Amino acid sequence: MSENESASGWLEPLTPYKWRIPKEKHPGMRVDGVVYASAEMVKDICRDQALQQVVNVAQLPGIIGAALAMPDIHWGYGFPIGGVAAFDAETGIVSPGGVGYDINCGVRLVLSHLEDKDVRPRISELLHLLYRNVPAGVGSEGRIRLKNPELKKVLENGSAWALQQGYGWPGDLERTEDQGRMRGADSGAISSRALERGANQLGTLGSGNHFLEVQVVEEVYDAHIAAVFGLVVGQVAVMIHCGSRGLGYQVCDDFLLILRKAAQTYGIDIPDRQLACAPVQSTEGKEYLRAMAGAANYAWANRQCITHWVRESFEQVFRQPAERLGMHLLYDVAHNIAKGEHITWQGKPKEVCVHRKGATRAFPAGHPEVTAQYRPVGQPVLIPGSMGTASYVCAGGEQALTESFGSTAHGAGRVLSRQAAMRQARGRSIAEELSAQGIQVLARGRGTLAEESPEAYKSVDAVVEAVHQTGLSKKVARLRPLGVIKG
Amino acid sequence: MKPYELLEHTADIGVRAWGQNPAELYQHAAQGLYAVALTAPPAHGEESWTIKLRADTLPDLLIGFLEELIYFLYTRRLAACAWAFKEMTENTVHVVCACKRLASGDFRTEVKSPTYHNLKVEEQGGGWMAEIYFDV
Repeated sequence: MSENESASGWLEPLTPYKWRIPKEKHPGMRVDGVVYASAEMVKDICRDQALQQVVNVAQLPGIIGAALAMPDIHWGYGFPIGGVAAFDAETGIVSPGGVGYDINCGVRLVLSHLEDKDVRPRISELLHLLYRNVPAGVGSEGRIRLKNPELKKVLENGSAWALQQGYGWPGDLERTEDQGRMRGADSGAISSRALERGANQLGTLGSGNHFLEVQVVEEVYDAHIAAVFGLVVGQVAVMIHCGSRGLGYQVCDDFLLILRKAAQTYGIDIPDRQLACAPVQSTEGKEYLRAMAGAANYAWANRQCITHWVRESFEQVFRQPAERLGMHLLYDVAHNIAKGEHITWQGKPKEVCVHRKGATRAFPAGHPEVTAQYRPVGQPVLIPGSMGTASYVCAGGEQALTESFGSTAHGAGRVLSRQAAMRQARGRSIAEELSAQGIQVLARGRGTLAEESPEAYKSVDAVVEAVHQTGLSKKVARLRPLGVIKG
Repeated sequence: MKPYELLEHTADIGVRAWGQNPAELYQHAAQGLYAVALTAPPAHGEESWTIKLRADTLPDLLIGFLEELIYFLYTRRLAACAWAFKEMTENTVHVVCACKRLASGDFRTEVKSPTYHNLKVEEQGGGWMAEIYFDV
């Protein structure tokens, strides 16, 4: 039996969209694994080592409930991408392997009053201006150069720093997860190397799967929630996907080393070295959380600065102030993060450290952490598709709180390696294929379009259907791209 | 013996490198990294930098070595093309590198970091082999 067939044998169906890996089948698992996916998606999931990574996460101390995998699960490092786990804040651990290298990689959606018919004739002009105004590409350096004292203010204040510099509107903060500033950040916990890697990269997209897309609302599924979110069919919006750049990568590197030693110190047996961890309450664990919060704040400031240049670009092309163009932020979500959260567990209040690695917070209607404007309907959830395919706006679902520690999917999730995607794209022009579908693409890096071609990813429609059917989030609207900028 | 080959990974990319000794293994792993990160291998070096690291084990040392190369790649825009190893043990590497200063167009892929995922450094048939997956 192949490894893949073996992995599919680990799963017991619970519902058409929910599967269990029983803890009894794998020595060392403290809790079950639970995977949210359709039977069709499970075939892809079993092709690599992602399920083994769910099993590994289930072995970590202090984990409660289950080691969870969202429908966009795929092979990552330590945790799978699409992995969610909550650890008891008193007895559990925190792991950089449950956050990832790109700390607070996330997505935001900026709305407008413009319609498809206003933007489509000018999309080329708009895209080229955005391409010029928003630095993108490998190792891209930004328009903002910071000395360490100012950079430390970014790390401690996040989006609020950006607003103080004029990069944004007051309403942006309340429409950002954690108001764009994670508490407890300590720039003193961040190494000089990390500071150096972050000094010239604020306000840059980077490369890989990061992007800036001009999109149009194609379909609305829930008219009431869409109205609260300010979404109507035909409306143009801009989606921004990026993270904490080199600063976040270096923080992860630094703390994998520190927490691997800490795991030895505290006698924690880890099944994968990428799951280096320390007790949440240990000196090392607290230090990591302080540094991670700083990197998360850098990422929020990063997306906030880019938002400012997006607004400026629209102002130049459409010759109206961004306020009159209605360029409000709908929401900004983090999808690589570990956070202290209050939950009700087995009928009692409990403090947990929730890890979301390639997973999005999805608090439902009425949750006190949801900004007042959206509290009646639930937190906006942004789930981008692959380049050239649809993206979704959802709302946090009731089941998310009872089943997935307030979490849902974060994107389409890869199914092809970069080399396999390059092979499939050989002899083709991905840009021309997308252009034939009415999507203009500008990419900085060589090979980026082939590596990021739509067939390299799962169907985002299937991912969103799975989270909708399980009640982790509700489908609100579907957006398709008009123009794409890739690093 | 070829110096390295690239390994497939759903989200990222790996390098399998070979060498007759640990020093050669490290050089070939570096070439693999540059094959992922750059449009062409650095041909000649105008500047030099010294890497001097200690670690508990040879795999840890390799991770530290590759992290150092990535740091120089993205902060100083330097890639090594010639290596003079002064010391190479299971716990120590001391090497002076001749480096090329890179232009923006020389970069192909942003490599975030080498990872410990499925990391292997093994003595094999009188030589050495390493497998490293990079987060990209």
